[in-house]
Amino acid sequence: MRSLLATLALSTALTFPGLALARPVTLTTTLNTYGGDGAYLALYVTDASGAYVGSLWMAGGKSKYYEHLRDWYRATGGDQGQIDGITGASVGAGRRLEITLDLADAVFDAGYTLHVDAAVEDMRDSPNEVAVPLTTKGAGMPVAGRRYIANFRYDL
Amino acid sequence: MKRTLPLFALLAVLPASVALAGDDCRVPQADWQPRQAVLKVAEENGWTVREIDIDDGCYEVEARTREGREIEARLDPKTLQVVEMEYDDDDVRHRPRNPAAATTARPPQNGLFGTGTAPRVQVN
Repeated sequence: MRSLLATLALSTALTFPGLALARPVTLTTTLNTYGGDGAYLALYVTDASGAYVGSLWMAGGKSKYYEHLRDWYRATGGDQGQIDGITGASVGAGRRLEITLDLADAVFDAGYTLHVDAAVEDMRDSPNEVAVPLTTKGAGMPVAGRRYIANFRYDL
Repeated sequence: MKRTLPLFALLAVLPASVALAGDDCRVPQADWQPRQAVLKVAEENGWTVREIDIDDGCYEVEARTREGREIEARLDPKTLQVVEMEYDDDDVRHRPRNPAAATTARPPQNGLFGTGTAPRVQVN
């Protein structure tokens, strides 16, 4: 039932974005000092079934590298319409990326997961480096990355 | 984003006549011009070269033009003709972009951005 309500809420948000309930959320991604070029990062959300819902941010402006964000690329087919208006520069090693946005209420406590894919030129790709369930209880709790990301957290 | 070593590895084990799937240039290794020749072409074009790499069977030159623009040029390794030219700010010019500072760009309507306002971003 909760899942059905979340789906209804999200579909409402898709149809009537002005009516959707949302809350300000800050997504903080802190990178390791891995000793390479700036990292490309794709932040995106999947639903309870693992299906891609949408992107929240793309760090890195050269589209030819997007295929190295492999899970994001597989989910979107590299469709750049998914990241129109939400694309910025790649993030240097050791730096911290902070994104504040109004995120739909419907994605919390309803089985949605926020993913971060990472890639660095001439270094190994790191798809799904972070996968964190979006729950109100999980807010403010850092989650460790595997390769380029030291940790990721979201704050409500 | 490894892109150079796998190509060299393939070239080492495949006959020169075998076309590599996905290659953009498809030139047998024996026909490749040396890097010095690439540098000469770059000089003739007025480019200040930062790096010469190999990508998808082509030479890839990262350089700055006389006008100060950052480019990536792909050259056929046999003819040294430019087969593709990309300006570093191409993606910026062709796609709505949200720089770290405040912006009026609107996010995609994917239902995630509840109020439809653009994210605010900073890198520390």
